[in-house]
Amino acid sequence: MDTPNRSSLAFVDRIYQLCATRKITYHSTDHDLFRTFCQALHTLNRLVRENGTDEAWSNFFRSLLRYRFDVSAAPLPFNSTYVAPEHAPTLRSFASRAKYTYPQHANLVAEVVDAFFKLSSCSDNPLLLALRELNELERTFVIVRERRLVEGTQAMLSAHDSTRAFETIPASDASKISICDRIIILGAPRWFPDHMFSAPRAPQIDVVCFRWNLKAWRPTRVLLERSHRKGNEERVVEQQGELIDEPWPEPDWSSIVRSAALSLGQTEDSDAPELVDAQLFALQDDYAVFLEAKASALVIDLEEEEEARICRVEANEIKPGVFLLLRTEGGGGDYIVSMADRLLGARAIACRSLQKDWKRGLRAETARMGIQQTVSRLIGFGAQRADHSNLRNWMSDRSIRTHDKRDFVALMRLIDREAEADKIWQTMGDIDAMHRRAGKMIRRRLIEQVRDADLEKLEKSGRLDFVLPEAEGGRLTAFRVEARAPTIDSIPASRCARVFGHEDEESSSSRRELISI
Amino acid sequence: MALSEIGKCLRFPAGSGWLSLPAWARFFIDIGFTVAKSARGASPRVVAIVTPARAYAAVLCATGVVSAKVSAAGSLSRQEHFDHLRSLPPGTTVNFRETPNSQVKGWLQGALDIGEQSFIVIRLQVKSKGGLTYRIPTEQSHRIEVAVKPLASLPARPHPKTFRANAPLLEFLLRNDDRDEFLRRVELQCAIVGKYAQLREEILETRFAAQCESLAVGRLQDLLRIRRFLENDGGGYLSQVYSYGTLDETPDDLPHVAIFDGSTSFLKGHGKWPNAHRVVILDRTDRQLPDAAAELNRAYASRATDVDTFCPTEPPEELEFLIF
Repeated sequence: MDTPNRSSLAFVDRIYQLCATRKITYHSTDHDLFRTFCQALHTLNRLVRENGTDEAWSNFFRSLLRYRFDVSAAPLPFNSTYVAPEHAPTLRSFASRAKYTYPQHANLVAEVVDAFFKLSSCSDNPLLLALRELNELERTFVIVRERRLVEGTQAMLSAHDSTRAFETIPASDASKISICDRIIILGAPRWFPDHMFSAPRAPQIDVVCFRWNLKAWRPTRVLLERSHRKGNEERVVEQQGELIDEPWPEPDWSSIVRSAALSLGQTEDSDAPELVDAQLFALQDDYAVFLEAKASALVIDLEEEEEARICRVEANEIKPGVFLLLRTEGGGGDYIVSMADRLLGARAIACRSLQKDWKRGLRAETARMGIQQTVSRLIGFGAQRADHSNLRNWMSDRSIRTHDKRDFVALMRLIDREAEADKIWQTMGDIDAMHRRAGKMIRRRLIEQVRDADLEKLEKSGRLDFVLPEAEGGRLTAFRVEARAPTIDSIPASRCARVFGHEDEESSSSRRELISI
Repeated sequence: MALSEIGKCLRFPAGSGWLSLPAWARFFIDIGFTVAKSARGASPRVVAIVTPARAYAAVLCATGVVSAKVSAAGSLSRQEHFDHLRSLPPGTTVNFRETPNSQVKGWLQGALDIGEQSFIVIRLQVKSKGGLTYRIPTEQSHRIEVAVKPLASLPARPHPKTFRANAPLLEFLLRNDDRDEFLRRVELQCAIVGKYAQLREEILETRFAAQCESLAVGRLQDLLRIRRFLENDGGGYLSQVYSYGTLDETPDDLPHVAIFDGSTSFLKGHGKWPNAHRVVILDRTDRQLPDAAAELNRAYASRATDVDTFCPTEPPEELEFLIF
């Protein structure tokens, strides 16, 4: 059957038809040893969590859970190098130590580790066997939960006649595919976005997973108001045995935070570092970055129209799926600052020094009096917007001056520099103007470069470098945002906007900061 | 034919032929039509619809809005229109349609009763150059429309403005008189906020047809009369499209109905016209869907009053629907 042009009404009508007629079939598979491993790991994880979190377990669970989920969501043999945890050798010593440090869990730890090592030398591949049993249909897309599983999955599928024509894509790209004959979803339905089922791009959806992961998809509403209609009736295959109904694991944020401390080192001003509220992002290829929560950053959003693809977005509004543009060569931190300094020319040093001076004075005064009293005094001095949040922002090196001059005069009065208020206000205005000019220049150049860039490559690889001569010969790298931490961290300001690796905090070789300073 | 029936007579290209609009497409037209019937100034209504694909939902909805407003205007009697003109202050700038293809601008002078006949008086020329004045009787008053741009001074010589209306679809849907009025009408009935290129393709580049005994082919633009897509045909406009990226820079003209095409459009633009009726189209595959749905759910939970459900027809199964 011919697929209509994607932008035609006939194409959209096909999508509506698929919603009404799509058929979901569940195919479960089993493997004794892997089931033993999964159930033991699941039980151990639950018991350890019940006793409160303990950092000592962090690496143990991180690597084994990742192995468990990866093998459950990709047709890879248990001994595949694509899924092997990097520090597997340490697991045995952890199990030995557990006999003394966690005697109540020692048996389970031993069971998990023993099963893991048996799996590591086992070439069974139950998901692939299940895939090979599916009937042949012309255009089939295989959807895997994580982008990192695409390569291994495609290699495995290409090695067999019956699956050679299948095309593997990550779940995050599933909405971009055209209408096909069949979509195969690997793993538990709950690991995938709801629209894979509720707005399908194929008449046939096959879910292939281990039987303890199988829980049928059910339509859910996103808007309030109770639906007065029954959802589509799907043929539900009841799983046998114990269901392990777990969501796909979030990145281990606490471990990434620890990696930041190791990778980015001590702060310049370690005695009294300026602390800022920062949003942590997990990026493509196991990199991560902190961005000041209320500051904006440049992002590329490929779903936007050409002119709007590059925009500045406040850090706490950046979503997974967009590309974050970060400086990865030519100095750490924000490239706009260094470019603005170039535009300021000979005045830059004096201007920045003045900026640092009054910020330092404000921080010292706040440290002396406490935030509450500082805010009260500022209000007494005529400040219009003095509150906790704004005071923190005014202390930050990222903010240049206040919006309202009355707030600025109050700040100057607080630090005994009222007589210079006009002069400092003017100088800060000059810095601000240069920041805006620098931002516009960089954005314009980036738009040109993005227009010429291989966006398909960017989409596929999740990372692309851009060289901007204006930014001191610096290099910017667009990283796909994989996840955003659920909470805000308070960290030294000097750690913001610096990309670091977090793949394995125990391995010093992989502890890396991407930027050269 | 009545514009309220437009959903039934529109066709879209499929393969080598034309097909009737599917139920979901007619539903969006019906929703637009029904929302537009809500009075301007009444408590603004919000209709949120979650779709499996956003394409065409907003523009079909807008088609319903415009159809409803035009139908409503058509039902105004000549006398009501005359009374409205009579109530306007002298000096109000108006357009007077001299012929089916030309109009001229002037100042309203007031109303005049001669015997049993009433007239609207408009001046088209500065007094010192002759002061050409027309008296338009009640039954011809529909040829006068209030102009959007006021005339600072009357010209020495009237400059009729001609326009062309080459829209077979419109010719099929509206009678001559109604069509002339429709083409001259200047009123922001509908604003669509979304991605400019997508909307442009759906409105300008997609062919639709109306079919009864013969086939009349056109584009939705023939009906929507989007201001920024108008070629210089001299006529008025009924709708506008805005990119959500530049919404802050758009004028504050209040549309009767604002349609937000997609989650981001709604999240960035929902504060723009708080007094307009609003239709929000959400795509299930949109990464911003949870945020937009949460915002709508918050608004629904804090709604001042419950309104009567006015869903014209049962929503198709593929759609989620919330109205308040």
